[in-house]
Amino acid sequence: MDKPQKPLTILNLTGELIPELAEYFSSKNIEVVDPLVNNEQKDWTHIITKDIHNFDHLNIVYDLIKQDRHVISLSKVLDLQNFTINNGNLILDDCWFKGPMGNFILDKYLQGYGGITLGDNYPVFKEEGSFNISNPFNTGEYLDRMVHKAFEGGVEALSIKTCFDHLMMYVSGLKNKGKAGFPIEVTYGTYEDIFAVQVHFYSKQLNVLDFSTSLSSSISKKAEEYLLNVAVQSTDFFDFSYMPEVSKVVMTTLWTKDERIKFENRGLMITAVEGGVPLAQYDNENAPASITVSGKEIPDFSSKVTIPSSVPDEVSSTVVKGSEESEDGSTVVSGSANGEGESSTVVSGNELTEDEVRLVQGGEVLEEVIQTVKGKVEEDKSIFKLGGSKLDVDKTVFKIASSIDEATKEKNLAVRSLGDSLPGSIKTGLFDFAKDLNKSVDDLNAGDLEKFEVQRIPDILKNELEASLKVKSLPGNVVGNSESGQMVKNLEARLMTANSEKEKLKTQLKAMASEVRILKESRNKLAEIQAKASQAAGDMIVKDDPSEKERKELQDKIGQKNLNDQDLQKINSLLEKLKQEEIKIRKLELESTQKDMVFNQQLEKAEREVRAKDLMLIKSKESFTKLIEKKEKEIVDFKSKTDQLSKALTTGASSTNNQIMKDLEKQNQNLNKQVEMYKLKISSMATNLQPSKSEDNLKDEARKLQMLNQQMKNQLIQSKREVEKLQAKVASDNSAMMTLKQDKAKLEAELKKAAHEVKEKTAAVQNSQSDQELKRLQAQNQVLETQVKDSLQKITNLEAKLTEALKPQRNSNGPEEGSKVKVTQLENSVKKLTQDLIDAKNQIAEAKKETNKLRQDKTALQNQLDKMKKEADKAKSAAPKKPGGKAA
Amino acid sequence: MKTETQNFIKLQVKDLSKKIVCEGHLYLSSGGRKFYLMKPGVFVDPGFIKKYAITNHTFDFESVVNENVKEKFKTLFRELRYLRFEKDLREKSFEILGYFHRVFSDNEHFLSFALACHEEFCQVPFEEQLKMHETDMHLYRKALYAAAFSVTVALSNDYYDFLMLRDFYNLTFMLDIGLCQSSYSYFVAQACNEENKMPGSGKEFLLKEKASEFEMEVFLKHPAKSYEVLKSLSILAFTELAEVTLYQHELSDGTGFPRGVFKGQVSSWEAIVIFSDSLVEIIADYTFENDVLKYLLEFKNQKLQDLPVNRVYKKLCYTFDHFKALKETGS
Repeated sequence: MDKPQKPLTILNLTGELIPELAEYFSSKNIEVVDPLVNNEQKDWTHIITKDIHNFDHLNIVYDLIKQDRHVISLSKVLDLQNFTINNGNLILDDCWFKGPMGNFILDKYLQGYGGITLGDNYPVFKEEGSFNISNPFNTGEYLDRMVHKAFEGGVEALSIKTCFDHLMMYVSGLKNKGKAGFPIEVTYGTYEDIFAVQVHFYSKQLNVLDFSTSLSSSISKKAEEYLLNVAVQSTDFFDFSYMPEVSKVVMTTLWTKDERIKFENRGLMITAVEGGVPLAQYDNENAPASITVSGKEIPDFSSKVTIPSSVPDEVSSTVVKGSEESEDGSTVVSGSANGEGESSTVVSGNELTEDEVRLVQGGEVLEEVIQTVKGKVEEDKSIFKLGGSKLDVDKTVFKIASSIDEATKEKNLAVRSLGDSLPGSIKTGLFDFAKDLNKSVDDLNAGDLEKFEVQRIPDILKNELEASLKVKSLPGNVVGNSESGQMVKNLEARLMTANSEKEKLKTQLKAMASEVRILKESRNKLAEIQAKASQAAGDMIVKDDPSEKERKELQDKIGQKNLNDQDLQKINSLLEKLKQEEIKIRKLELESTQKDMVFNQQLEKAEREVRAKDLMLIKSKESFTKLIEKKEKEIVDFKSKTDQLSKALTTGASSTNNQIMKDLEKQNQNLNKQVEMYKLKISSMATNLQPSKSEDNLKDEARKLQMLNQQMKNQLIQSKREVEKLQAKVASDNSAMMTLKQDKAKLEAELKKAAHEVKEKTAAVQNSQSDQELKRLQAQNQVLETQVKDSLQKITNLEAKLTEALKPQRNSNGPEEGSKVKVTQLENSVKKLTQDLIDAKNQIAEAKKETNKLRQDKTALQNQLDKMKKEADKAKSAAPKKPGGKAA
Repeated sequence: MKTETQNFIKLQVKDLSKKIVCEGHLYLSSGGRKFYLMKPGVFVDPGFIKKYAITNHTFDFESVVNENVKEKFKTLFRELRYLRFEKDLREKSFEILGYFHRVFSDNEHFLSFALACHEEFCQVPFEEQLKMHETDMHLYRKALYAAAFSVTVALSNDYYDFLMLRDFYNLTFMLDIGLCQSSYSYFVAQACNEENKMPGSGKEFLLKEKASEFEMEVFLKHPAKSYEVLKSLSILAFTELAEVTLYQHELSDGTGFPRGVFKGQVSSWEAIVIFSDSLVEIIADYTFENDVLKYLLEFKNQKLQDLPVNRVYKKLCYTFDHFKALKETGS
């Protein structure tokens, strides 16, 4: 972590620093300026404060965020949210400087070093243990070990556990927001009597709101708003570091045994939180787009940041983005003394005084005001009393500076109006006291009265006592031993009474003061009432009805009998008015009767409803009583059962029950395991469904593909063989065809010969040979036909097989490239086979054609043969019969 | 250690094709001569299988993996997976480490454990594995061993969660996936070797060898590239852990790349992966005692945190007396 290059110049608003701290700064050559001593203005890098709890105004005056000025508080801060948002990042109580850690923490803060491990962050600490958290809801044993270690070291374990638990919840919240990642690494160690726990985790784009929103001091239903606050308050020192380079958050917590620190958190350090700066920045056109933090220029994300709804009002009220509209409880001060035209909003419940306005406008620097009243802004209670609804340090400063206190006024009044009720000695004492102060009794203020009460009243009372004792001892002048004892007792009694008188006086004073106050208030009230009454009376006179006056005048005139035309007209008009009024009254009466009717009806309705409700109640009561009775019965049954069971347990059935219980537990465990198994299976199924397939799937697929490949190969081989067989058959068919052709040719030749013989010879020549040949041809033809049919059948079978083999190949589109290649190869081979088949089919078709031709030839030949036979028969019949002779 | 008696078995191509990783030494006998084809832990290339499937060769195979050991580790990992409570998880992790220690004291080959881890933890897609193998055969082999080693280192550092262990495995496996680019060359491979031997020397090597601009880019930007690939795959349960890939070449003095992060900014979970990836040399017979411990001994801790390393010393090497003696004497 790099710190800004500019030299450290610190403005000290606390008055005098403790010697250890002053020595530290001087040893490091760090310039610390006290505005009371040196009024010089510098480019402050840090501002040290003490007992300030609202830093809004400090931010406005010193421009903390824009100028990258950090606030260091040397006392506890009540509102950590306000502190962090206003660039406050170190709270370190003076008491830390009594031990060795104070200087170290300041070194770490100002030099800006740190690291992931406890050794890097706090090198003096010895690591006692470490663990990692992958699941924030699974930390029990780790935490137990750590707490045990702390307990051994005498550190309060409860605070450690509280802090750690809340930190884990806070990190879980960040994780839910997507701003933190697991694992979380935890290391813990010790140094002398200090116990340290360090937590670090990955966190992307963390900004100031991510931790300031969780620092709310009010506990609400939204736990994420105060988780970090609880964690911080449980520690003695809390160090929150962010490493933007590597996007990691390191949180170190320290616990000491120091009694001064034991009861409340006395330290907080926040370093290098990127993105925090622009959030609280006031809108300014001239402002740079990016801001330099820790030596690095970071982009302005303010435009991207939206304030979540969970942000408390206090936070959102401090985040001002250039709007000039005044919100509730805020005052807009436009313009400035320098004439720059900027506007700033001051959050306050009350109206601003002139001084405040001047201050906000920039006409007066705050430290000038603070210098004048330094030392008075100490007690928070007074601030609350004066500040009204919202705590405002600077406002209280102005009020104190003006030193007009209502309480002091009252006290003065009380003293001034004491009158005769005080004893003479005190009166004279008071006058003497006033004389000593060169004041009149009326000019005495509250401080003077207090002084009088403390310094003078005891002396006056003493003197009075002594005087009275002297008076009593003088007459005898000789005092015996017995009398002296009595005297001592008397004296003691007088002293007691004097004390009681003193107390009485005090109470009288207080009572008088309260009486005076009441009287004053009652007088004021009386005066106000009188004034109001007089004002009201005046108004009444002014608002008197004119018609009444006229009526009176008319009545006088009627009495005097001096009526003229105008008077008559007036009488008429009055009568008309009377009529109208009567009509109005009647209308009103009618309306009132109607309203009464409606009211009565509604009353009746309400009564009915009430009755119905009563009935319901009675019924429900009855049902409840029944239910209760039933439940009581059940309870009695349960009790009897439990008694029986307990008896059974005591009598000896315990072993069997235990066995049953164990079996049931086992069954339960098994079932749970099964459920988990199924869940996992479902999850694995779900993952398998995703595009990125698992390896097992791929393997299975590869195996399936291989199987398919094998099947395809086998089928291919089979089909090849069948094709070969078919080809062989086709060849044999061809040869048969050839023989048939040859036979045909022979037959033709024979036919020609036969025809020639028929022509040349006469009938009854030849037919026996040709008949035989025909029979042979027919037989051959039949054989051929059956062969062709068989081959056709086989071809169709092959086609069907091929189509079947092709189907799965087409369906399986494996993801692997190798298998794809194989599939394509197979497809090619199948294509070749189909081509071969087509060729074979063509050949068969040709063979069919040839067989058809042959058939035709055969039929033709048969026809010819038939003809030949017929002719031969004719010839036989037509042959000349020899007389008495035999036919040839 | 290579055994004296070599037990060869005949292995069909179809049997070899069922494996993703070669589980032993693979030879091809031809003409009375033996040719060494594959080392243990090498990716079984589908091209190789295709080539020999045509001729339907039978190989001589000598397995180095003890199936019993592998199965035992797988069972232990599965048991770890279904545990939910810290105590059970820690006890199981101790059991795994104890078994690991016992087995590898007997000179068992590291591949038995590496394969068990691969089968139980690996979520890296097959295509990415193939890509790694095709880029550089040794790249895949190194990833396989280093990823397995990351599991032991994580267990030694008290990371018991199964999903976390799986993420460590896959992260370590994919640390160098960014190198799998077209510009990857022999020089880049050598630069990686140099970087592993002597952290910080890879760039110098490339400059010395006058490597091209692309080669330099591949080398210097591969962590970022790996990060991108890992992000795009979304195989991690703890997605933020992907950032660990950016730390693989960071050095404790801040002179590493790509960001120049110092030792004090690196967490233990990052150091586990870096440490596991720093396995210098992978010889064929990779045994724990002779190789891993030797590596631990030679580990000069130039890369970031020493805490994970110390924990590994503490939990894994506690009975290796000779190793202890070596460490103490510094020889």
